[in-house]
Amino acid sequence: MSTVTLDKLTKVYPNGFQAITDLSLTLSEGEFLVLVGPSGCGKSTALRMIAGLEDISSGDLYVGDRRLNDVPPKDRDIAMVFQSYALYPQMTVAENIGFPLKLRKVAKKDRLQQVEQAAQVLELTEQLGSKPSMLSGGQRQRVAMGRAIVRKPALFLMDEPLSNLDAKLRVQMRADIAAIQSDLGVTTFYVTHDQVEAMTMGERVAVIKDGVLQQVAPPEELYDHPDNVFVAAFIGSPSMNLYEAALSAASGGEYHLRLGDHRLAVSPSVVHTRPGLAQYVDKPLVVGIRPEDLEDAAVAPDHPSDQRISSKIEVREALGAETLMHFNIAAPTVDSGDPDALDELGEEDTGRCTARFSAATRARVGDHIEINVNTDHLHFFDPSTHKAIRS
Amino acid sequence: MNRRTFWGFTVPSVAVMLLLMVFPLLTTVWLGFQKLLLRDLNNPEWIGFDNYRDLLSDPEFWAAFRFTMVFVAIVVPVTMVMGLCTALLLDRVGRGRSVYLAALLLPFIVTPVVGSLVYKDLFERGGLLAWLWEVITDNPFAVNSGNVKWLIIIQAIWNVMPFAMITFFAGLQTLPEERVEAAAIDGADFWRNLWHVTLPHLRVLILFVGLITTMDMYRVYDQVFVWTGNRFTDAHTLQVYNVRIATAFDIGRLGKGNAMAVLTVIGIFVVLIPFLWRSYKDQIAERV
Repeated sequence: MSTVTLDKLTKVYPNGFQAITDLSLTLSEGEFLVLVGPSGCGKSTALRMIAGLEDISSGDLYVGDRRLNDVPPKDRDIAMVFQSYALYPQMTVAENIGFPLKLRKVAKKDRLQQVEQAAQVLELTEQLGSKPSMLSGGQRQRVAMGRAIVRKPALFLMDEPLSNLDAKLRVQMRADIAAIQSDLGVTTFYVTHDQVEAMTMGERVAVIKDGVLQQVAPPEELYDHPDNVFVAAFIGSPSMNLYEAALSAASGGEYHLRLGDHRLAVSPSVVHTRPGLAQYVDKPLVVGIRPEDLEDAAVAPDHPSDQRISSKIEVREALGAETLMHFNIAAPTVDSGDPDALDELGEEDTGRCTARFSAATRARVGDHIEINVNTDHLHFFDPSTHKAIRS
Repeated sequence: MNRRTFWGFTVPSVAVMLLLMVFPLLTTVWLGFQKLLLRDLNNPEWIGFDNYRDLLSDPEFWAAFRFTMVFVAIVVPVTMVMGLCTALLLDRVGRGRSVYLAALLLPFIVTPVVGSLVYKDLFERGGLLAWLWEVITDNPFAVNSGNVKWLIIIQAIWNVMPFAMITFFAGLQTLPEERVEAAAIDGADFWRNLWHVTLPHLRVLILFVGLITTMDMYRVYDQVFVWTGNRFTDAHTLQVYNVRIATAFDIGRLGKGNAMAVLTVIGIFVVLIPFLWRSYKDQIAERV
């Protein structure tokens, strides 16, 4: 158990491709940090550099006070769980879990005892004699976990360990892994492309894009105060609606947000709590609206009428506790730069908007309705740098 | 699939198998019980087990049997170990892999007789290795009944090794990288990795190569014959012996030759029992 420091880690491949640029992170002792980003953003490369499976081009890696740059993987005191589990097919579950101990010449008696203990934690006691091919996906995943925890390493590395499981099992394993990690108190570095996994498991979440760290923060802060457009769009499902807009001063200290043909009243407090916003008055900016900050006006009629937009429902997804509505608000959308989302947003989708209505809504596809916008919760970004406008 | 379609698809290949494999085999067994001479093919005469009795009491048969066994026992393991080492080395080559691969495969691609002749030339008068021998030892090199066995064995290894190599190399390409990396993190060095990850992955192929080369080496003929002709009978393998008795002199005892062929089939089967037993057990284990 130790702190882990990544100091300006950089990975440049021989063909000149720079996979990671100046990645600096510090994990405190026992922390669960999730590195999340779209596919191909370099997150797995970062993990593999920590594991010692990839050379570090520049920068330093420390676990505790030990600089690990040139230490071979087996001497790093690090355990890793792979996406494919990478179990040894000819060994039984017990042999798989005990393998790292065997290689470290732990006496057979101690080894069996530790394997037994790990199996108990992971509820694998019944399967100890089976071969991996006889196990279900979830059990294999737990064996891979067992092989990691049995060593009591200084650091766990997990490379998308849940992505091969079906959705239901994934939810359960998410909780199981988090519980085991907090029980053992081992510093954990977890990589995933799934932002739900990141938000639910991480004590802190680091968002990375094209090899560059975007923001590191606890999940709530990441959600409420994204540093830039990419983080804003990447975190949260459905993702934040982002449009080009303009803010203008109106009479009585009020402000107006021009969003396509719509005009929304913005209270002075919104501008006052974000001092930087004053400079953007009458200039283009990017505005972000979370789906839950939109509501069917028929459900909440008390909402100020100058904070509404109108549109026609195009798609309705009833999820039970809430209903997702898709419509178009005729304002230019902003590309967040998430390569995984690009496929979804065709050109004809300009102005598309997703709202999370309460289940009480009666609106149906084709209805023209009024939609409340909670303008106190708007997010503002610079249109050229895509950075959040706050102070 | 209904029965008619099933037979429609199956009958042609079964018929071909019967015609080309089962029928000749039965003929061979039948001929093994006949006295049949090359110069008088129309008058086979039933003599029961006389051919077998003749064979098994012939000291030259036992000499050929002994050398065949020694030959298989040396060539097969050496071929497999060298094939595996070469495959592991080739797997580490980054650039120019296909050039090395092509070069390494050459002995396997060349027709055995041609390969043997070329190899033999090296040891003939004026051959490179014969010359080298003379330079180093100051004695002229001569093929004799003592060294010819070793020359044959070395050549067989040179000839068959590429088959083992290419098979193992193909197997290495299917080894999941993550498993190797997991072992590296678990603490395995090169040898542990080889023993616990690579070899178990290649297990089926090792069995396969062992089976095929054992079978091939038990039946080796052309490479040996190129070296010995009808001389050096000590270095005759069972197949060379077989052809020799079947065509010897002007009488040519074809019946005895066929009896010998039957013994070869039985011999191969016995030698392969361990391999067949292993793969049978693997099949059963997989089915559970």
